[in-house]
Amino acid sequence: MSGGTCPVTGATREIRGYQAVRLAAKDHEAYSSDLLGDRDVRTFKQLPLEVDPPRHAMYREALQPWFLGTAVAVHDEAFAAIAQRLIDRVTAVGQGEVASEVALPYVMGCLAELYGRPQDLDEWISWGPDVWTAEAYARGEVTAESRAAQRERNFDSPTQRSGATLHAYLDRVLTAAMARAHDGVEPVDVWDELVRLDLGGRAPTIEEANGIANILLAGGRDTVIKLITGIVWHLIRTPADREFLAATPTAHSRAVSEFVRYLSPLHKIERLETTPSDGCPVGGDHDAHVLLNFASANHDPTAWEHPGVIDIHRPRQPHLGFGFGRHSCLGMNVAEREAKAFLRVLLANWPSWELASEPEIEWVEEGEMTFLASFESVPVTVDTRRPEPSGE
Amino acid sequence: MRVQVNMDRCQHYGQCVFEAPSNFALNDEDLLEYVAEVDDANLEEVRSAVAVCPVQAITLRS
Repeated sequence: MSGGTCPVTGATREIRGYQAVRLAAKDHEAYSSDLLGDRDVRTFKQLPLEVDPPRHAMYREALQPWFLGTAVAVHDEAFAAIAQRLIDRVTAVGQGEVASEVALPYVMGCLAELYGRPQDLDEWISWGPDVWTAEAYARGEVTAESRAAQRERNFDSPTQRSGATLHAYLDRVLTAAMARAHDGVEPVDVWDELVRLDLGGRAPTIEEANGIANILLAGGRDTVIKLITGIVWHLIRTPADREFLAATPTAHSRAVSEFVRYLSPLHKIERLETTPSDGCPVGGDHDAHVLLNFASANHDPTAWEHPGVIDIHRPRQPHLGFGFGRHSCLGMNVAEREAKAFLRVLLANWPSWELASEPEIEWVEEGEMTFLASFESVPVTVDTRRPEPSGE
Repeated sequence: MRVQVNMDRCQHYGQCVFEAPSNFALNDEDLLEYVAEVDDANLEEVRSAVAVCPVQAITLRS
């Protein structure tokens, strides 16, 4: 069932624009999250994403302490060390590809640090940017069709998507964590904490544990990889911004916000329209799914001046890069602190990277918006011809 | 009516700023600042801000 097409009328059902998306995102009664996304690769709901209030609050409240800004901030120096190591590695070789050799291992390294699972790092990296195409990624053959299916939430046609890799991993680690909990072993990592989570006086069921674990591993992955890659891509192409940010650390927060707006790593998300007004039926064999197009909100020309331009000096204005309403991104602090740590390290000692060749970028046209959907490849070399101006 | 934000819960999503710019704003460090006193004319938008907060950090009281 396509996330954005009525199964009866065939009409595209998508909400676009700054005001319309915001209104829909906060109206959880008219646009319910009580659905099963990624229905081609999983049978359990991602939690707390795919439940409505008030049940949503139970999961969100239990998980929120892990993702507080104060909880994530203690890992800032570790994040920075990971960034430095990866940047130095590419620089030492003299060339590299940013998305796969820097952004992917950086984001996975940060999550391994945050979740206390260093032993999983290599395995997580092997899955690539998207857990649902892990097998295809290992073969080096993720197709544009598979990426489009993820982006459009359209799982009607066969793709390379599969839940086998993630589910095998979760089965292994959650079984081990439950055994340790049963034996009274002190919790040492995210899976130990997860199986002991207090959900209103009880522990999670195995289905709930899988649903929460899904969010912890599938979320904040391809989205933040795109963000980090985009930051590097922009700073290579725009020395003026690079020099300004190197000299102005207080501007980093706003710059990261602008990168999130422009890149809108979470392009669209599904909702279930409870009372559709366009003749699309509800119930039975039909689900009146509608897509909320966050990217369109962040590129709405009625809300943003020159939205197709990255402007780190843009006046502050709230964006929908992390969604809106009660389902706003639980991992926002993680994404922002990962990005800021990386930016700080990159600028402190600019590695003199330049584009080795034209990057492979997938652009999509949606109405008035030309949107950078994904970075397939951003190859860089080290420019040894001249030294960079000092940022101090 | 007065609005109060539990700054320990607040994660500075800034969605209250969307809903009620009359009372809420993000400063240069992207941290929330707010005006506690709520004018009657802004009451509905402040109620909306209370409802929309992802971490339910805002309360409205007389």
